[in-house]
Amino acid sequence: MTKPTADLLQGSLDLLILKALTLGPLHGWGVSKRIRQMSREVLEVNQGSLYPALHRLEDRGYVTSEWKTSEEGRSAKFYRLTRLGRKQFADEQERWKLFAAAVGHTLRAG
Amino acid sequence: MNILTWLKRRLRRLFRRDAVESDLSDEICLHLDLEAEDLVRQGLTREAARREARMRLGGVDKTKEDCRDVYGPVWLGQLWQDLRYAFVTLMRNRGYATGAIVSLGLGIGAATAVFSAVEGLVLNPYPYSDAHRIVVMSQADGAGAFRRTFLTSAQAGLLTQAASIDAVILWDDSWMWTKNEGVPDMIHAGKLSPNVFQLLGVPPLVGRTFAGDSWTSTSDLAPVAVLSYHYWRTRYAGSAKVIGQTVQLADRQHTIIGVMPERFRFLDADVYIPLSSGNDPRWTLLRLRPSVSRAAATAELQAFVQQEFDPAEGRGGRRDVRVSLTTLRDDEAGNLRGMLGILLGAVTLLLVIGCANVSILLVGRGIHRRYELAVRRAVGASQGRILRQLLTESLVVAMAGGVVGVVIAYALLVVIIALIPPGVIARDMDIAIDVRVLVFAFIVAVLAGIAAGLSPALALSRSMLSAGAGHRSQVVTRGSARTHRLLMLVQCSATVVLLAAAGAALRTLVVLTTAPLGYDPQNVAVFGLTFQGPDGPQETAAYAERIKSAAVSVPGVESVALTGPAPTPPVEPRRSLIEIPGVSDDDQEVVTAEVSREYFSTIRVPIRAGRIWTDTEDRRAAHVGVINDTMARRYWPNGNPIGQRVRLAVLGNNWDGSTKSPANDQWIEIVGVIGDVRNDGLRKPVLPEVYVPYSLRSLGAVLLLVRTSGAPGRIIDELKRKVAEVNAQQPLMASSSLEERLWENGWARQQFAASLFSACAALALALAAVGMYSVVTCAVSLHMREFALRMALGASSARILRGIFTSAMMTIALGMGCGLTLVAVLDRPIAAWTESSLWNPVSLTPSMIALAAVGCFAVLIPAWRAATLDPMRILRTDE
Repeated sequence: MTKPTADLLQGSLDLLILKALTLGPLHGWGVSKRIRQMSREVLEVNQGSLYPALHRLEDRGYVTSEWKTSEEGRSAKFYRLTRLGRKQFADEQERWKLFAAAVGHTLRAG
Repeated sequence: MNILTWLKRRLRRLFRRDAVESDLSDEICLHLDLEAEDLVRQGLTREAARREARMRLGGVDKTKEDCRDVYGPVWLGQLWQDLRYAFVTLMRNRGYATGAIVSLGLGIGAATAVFSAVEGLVLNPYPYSDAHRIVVMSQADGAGAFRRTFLTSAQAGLLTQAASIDAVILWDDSWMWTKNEGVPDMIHAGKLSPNVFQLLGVPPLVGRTFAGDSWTSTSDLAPVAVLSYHYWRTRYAGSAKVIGQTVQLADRQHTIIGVMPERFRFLDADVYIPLSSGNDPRWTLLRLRPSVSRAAATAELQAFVQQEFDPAEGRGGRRDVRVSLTTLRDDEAGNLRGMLGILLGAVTLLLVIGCANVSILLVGRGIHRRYELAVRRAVGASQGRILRQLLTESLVVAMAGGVVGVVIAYALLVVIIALIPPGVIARDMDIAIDVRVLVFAFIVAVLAGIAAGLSPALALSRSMLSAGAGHRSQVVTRGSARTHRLLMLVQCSATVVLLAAAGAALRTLVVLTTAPLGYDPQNVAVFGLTFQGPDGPQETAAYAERIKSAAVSVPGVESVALTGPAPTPPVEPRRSLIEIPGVSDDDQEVVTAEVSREYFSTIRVPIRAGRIWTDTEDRRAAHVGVINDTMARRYWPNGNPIGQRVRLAVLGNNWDGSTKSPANDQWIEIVGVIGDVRNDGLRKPVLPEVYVPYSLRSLGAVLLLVRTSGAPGRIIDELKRKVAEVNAQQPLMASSSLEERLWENGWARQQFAASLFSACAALALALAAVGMYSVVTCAVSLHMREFALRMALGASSARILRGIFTSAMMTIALGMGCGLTLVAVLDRPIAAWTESSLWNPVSLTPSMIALAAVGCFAVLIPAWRAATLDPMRILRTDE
């Protein structure tokens, strides 16, 4: 199956990043890897839009960033979900469920 | 979302840009490393892995840009960039920058300085509290001329009870005898009713002032004195120990109780003492109640005056009196207002010309840069970005021009105030740069800069320029050329108007200074003499004669004359009602002067008929007199005035205002007719005048007119010595010479006007020349290739030159035409406002010739350059 194109992912990129971070702070590459894992290798995030998205989320206050040393001993910028971010994730998730259900209804209809 | 963290983040981005950038770099680098490692684990070589990682990211720089864009444009950062670039560009094009900045600075500076002066003179020039409520009262009698009202203490008391009057103050001022370290001297003393200081509301600098609740009880006040700042600094060296010392005034010792601050210059007096009690009429000022309008107060006072008293001189009984109230500033500055108003218009035109220059230069710059801007657009700058950058440049020029304008404004105001002729405005007027006007002018500058830079910026940023069609953008250049022509037209018209104004002012000055005076003021010094010693009319006359002979004996003195202490020509001395039997009743008014017989020879007034009275007649106060030509023609057009008797009402009063006993004869016999002497200013017609011997009225002081063969200054010491020989206690006060008085009373003001207008016109001409030069230079450089082509094809350089020249001169001629039309239209209203007329061929023709010449010159230089270019060289360079 061909990988979904970047356009389709754009709107849900924020949602996926937030989900990836719910399980714990990650750096940018880690987020990309986690999304791949969680989607069972289906979703490959466009790396060019990953970092702008992370910065955007930080600007809006949904995540915060911090330079820490990773397990390998490198210093990396780790992103962490804030309380506001958690709330936003919950809202986004609800919205996505509604959206998916609506699409499903449309496709199943007569 | 927390505003604070948002702000902190933005500020960090602004001020710690390097840290933010390295953060981003590190982040992206780490990502690439991790991705490459992962790919290596999947089996790629290190090189292939790195390449693949980069490709997957999609471009390091683009990613970084996108990350930066998340935070939106950092306005301040871009602004700083724009400013830096603007500075660099300006430095590279110093000529254009200097031209624009200087033009703007001159316009703003001149406008601000003159606005401030006018505002200072017109709005609130006095340091007194509520100065707008203080009014001068004058009244008109049957003949119609308004004159200041004098009030006695009793009358002032009545007036205070009027509903619209808050306070009435009385004062008198005179030169009083004093002794300064043993040397007799005269001091200008202001005698004030006790409520004056309280009314004027200026607190003393040192010590205190005198005050009392009723101004009738002045005799109860101890003899105290308050010094003026100027006197305090010169005579007492500004020492604080002056309080408690005494100063002698006439025959009393006054204790000094205070010193006034520098701005307080009421009456321009040296010292202020309490007004002595007495029932003589004094100078007065009124203050209206806060909410009362002048019209209401005038109406009330009119009724008051008609009911209560009629202080017309020398005549009892009621008369139809009209009262007029003018505020202090109208009283003083009214005579300057017309001229200042026009000056305001003139500097506004100058500002317009300056702004037009800036516009021309900016538009020209815009045309030159169209290629650079085209490249910018092609590389990816947004229209908004280019617009912002162009506007920033215009703003920088405008701000610089504004700063220069501020400096010029301050300097110019000092010059203007120094130039204002003395005696034209009261010295207690307070004129300074008005900050509001400054801010306004600054804003005008900024707006001008924006407006000037906006149209080319819009045109340039909008144009669809591809690199190939780059420098041939016809839309831009044609529009700009039109703008240039329009601006040049505006400049020329404005310059024409200014030149016309300057020409008119200069012409009036010439007319004024060459007008016949009727007397010769050269080398006549004037001295004031307040008699010390003699008492009674006989003794005084003899004393005066001794002084006169002492003065004549001074080497270098040609002749000496005495006059009563009244203004000298060309100012009117004193008016009196006259009764001419058979010709008029007692309601005619003439001007009278008390003089000694040598007066006419000293100031060189010719005798037309009859004779001057003799020495003996002078001394024994004979009832004789001479009249001037105007009077002879008016009252005896067909007859002979000599031998006629007339009655002068003024002879019924003494100088101090007290009435003589009715036995004193007011009749005099006319023994001669002399030539007209200007006695009502320099431009109004001569008034009928009667001269009588000074001894007819007992005088307390006289003016000594001394004609010297050389410069008057040289004889002063010797003269003082000779006078001291007559009476050691007699001080002699040097006053301004007759020539100086002439300047003060007419010429000085016109010279002031003429110099200011000429300066404006010269500046305008210079600015317009710069403008014309820039326009033609720009047009020439635009069409350089076209000219080169034509010349290569065979056109002679003369034709090229002619072409450029004619097209430019046509615009200038059109501008001159518009300007002349404007002058013709403005002529009537301006002539009503001042006394000069703009539309005058004598003054206009040389101005037009000057403008045309300057225009030719300014146009010729760039045209010449075009005509002498090497066509081959131009065509080969692919500009």
